Amino acid sequence: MPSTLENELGEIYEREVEKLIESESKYQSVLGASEVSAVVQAFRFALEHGVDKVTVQMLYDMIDDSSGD
Amino acid sequence: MRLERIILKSFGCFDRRYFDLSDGVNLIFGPNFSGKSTLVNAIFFALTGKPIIPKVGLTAMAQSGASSGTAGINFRNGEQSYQLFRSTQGQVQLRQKEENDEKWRILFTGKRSADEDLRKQFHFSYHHLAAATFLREGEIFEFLARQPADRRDVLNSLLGIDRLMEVRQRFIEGRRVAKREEKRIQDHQRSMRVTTVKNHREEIERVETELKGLESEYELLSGKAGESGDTVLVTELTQAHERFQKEIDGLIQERASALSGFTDVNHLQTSIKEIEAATASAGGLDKQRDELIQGVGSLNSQIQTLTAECETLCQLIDSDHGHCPTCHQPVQQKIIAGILAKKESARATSQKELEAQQKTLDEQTANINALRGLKQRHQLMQGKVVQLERIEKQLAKLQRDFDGVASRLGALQPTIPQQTGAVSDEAADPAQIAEQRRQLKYRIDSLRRRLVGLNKEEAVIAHKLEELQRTQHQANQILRTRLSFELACDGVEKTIASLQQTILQPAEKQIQRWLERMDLTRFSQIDLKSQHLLPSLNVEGSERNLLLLSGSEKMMLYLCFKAALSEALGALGFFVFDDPTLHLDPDRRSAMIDFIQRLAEEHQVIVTSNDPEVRAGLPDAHLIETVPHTSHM
Repeated sequence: MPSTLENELGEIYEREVEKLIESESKYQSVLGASEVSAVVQAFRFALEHGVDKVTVQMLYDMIDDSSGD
Repeated sequence: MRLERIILKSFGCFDRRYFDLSDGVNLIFGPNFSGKSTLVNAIFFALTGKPIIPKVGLTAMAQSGASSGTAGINFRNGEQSYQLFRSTQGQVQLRQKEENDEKWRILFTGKRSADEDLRKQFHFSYHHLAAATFLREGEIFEFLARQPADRRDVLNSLLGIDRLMEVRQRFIEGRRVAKREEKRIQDHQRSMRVTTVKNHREEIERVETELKGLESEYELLSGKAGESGDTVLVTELTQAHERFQKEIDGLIQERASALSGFTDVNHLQTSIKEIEAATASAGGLDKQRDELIQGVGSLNSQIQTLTAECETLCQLIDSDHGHCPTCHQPVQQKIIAGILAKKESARATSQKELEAQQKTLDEQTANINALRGLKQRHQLMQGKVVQLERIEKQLAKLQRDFDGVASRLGALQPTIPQQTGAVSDEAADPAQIAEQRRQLKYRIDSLRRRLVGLNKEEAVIAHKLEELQRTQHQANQILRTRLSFELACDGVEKTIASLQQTILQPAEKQIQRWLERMDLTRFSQIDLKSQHLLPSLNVEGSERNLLLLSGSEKMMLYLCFKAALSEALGALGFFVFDDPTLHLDPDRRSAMIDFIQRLAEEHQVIVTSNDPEVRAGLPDAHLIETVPHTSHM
């Protein structure tokens, strides 16, 4: 992967997620900014630390906490 | 990035040796078995930690007889110079040259765990270097013969998709957990809906209203009865009052029956004393009667004897011959008549005495019978005395209880008389009120129980509704969580697609550009995605199989693909080609030399060859000559 893209991967992901929120009604009607933020944060966290060190429970807690707000 | 020096120690056929490199083209030139491919392998191994030739063990790269070999590379990245060493035993060391100093500072040293840091810092990725930077001998045919799945893995690694797929897998697992949790909550919700009963609020309000009305009515009745106390107590006291009264009446009747003519117990006891005195004075009656009976018996015997003697004397007098019938002696008539007269006189006297004694005996027997009657009456009267004493005691006790109840009742219900006796007519009205109150009390108690039951059920319903709301909240949350994970997965998918588009489309254009530069324009519409990096060719509307191209065409196309891919991925700044003109005909060889020169205009190129035409075709190249037996440093 180009180094420029490597650094931008989080931003690319965030853009794609926002596009999905706008285009998919199932997401639009249920999810809000806090959930989108949590999803992007979880993605960056997994990418930064590597999936070997990031467990499903960590990601679940990050996303579930935002859903409980 | 520029490679500046190759450093070898006990590596391949080299003992200790280094080779300086320059910008532009570096031509490693020498005959077979002179170590050209070893140098290419040394660069690849130093950068990636893996041999360039697959399935070759690390220890096999060390010099024959040496326990370990080391390959090092000096390179410049931006303004910084670095030294990277790797041993065939897996040790890694990265050094950086100090600014304004010729000394090398060790950045890290250790095992292969440093590879991730090298990848992040310098993009020294095995797949990147193998696919886009190095060309090793026989690689083209090997690449073309690779299975689609292998090429897909290479593509995913090149684009960083493999890491994204791992992240996506984590999100999929998270979504699975959320789905399980969602199903559990939905099941719980369904079970709660089934058991939820109707709301009792309206029923409770109705009962409360009715109860209030009854309680008001009850209070009103209590006011009429002059009561302010406990109605239950009044009812109980009234019942006790009536019961005591009945018992007292019964005892009074029993007492009257027991007296039977006597005015009271004292009168009865006086009579008993009189009887006792009478019986005491008549103590010798039985003895007298026995003596009389003996006397009567004796007199009867005397009379019978005298009667028999008289009859015998009469027979003597009346005999025919004047002789005794027994002894036949002559009978003296006169003497016998005198004896007979005496005997008859004695018999008459005894008869009179017997009659007198008989009369006395009859009188004595009557007296004795009268005495027995008196004794029986004495016993009866004594029993009655005991009975009357018991009755009096019971009456006294009942009277006390009755008075107590009447007193308490009188305090609560003054209209009830406190004196003993039957319930008077004047008490009928309070009793009626008490009965009404009792019935009201029963209805009130019944409604209160009903109200308690309804309130309990209502509390259960309220608890269930609360739990239902809580569960609904949980269901909403888990729905958001599950959809968040789905969004996360879809986001990764879209990111992968975006990366492929971002990298592969420019790569396809670069290939097209290189093909045009190499006058190979008859290929068109190159698609790297559909066949996973294998350049799918659409020539004049029809798909072409790369394997059917000529060898030189495949070589040129592949080099263009490699250069284009390298640029699309972010070129490292150098290429390493191992004997690229092998098997090429003179025309293609010339084209290859031309390609290398054009590539060297933008990048550092390291080429190995033993072809004199290549050496002649690259006159400006930095020449590194190798010989079969390398010399020491």
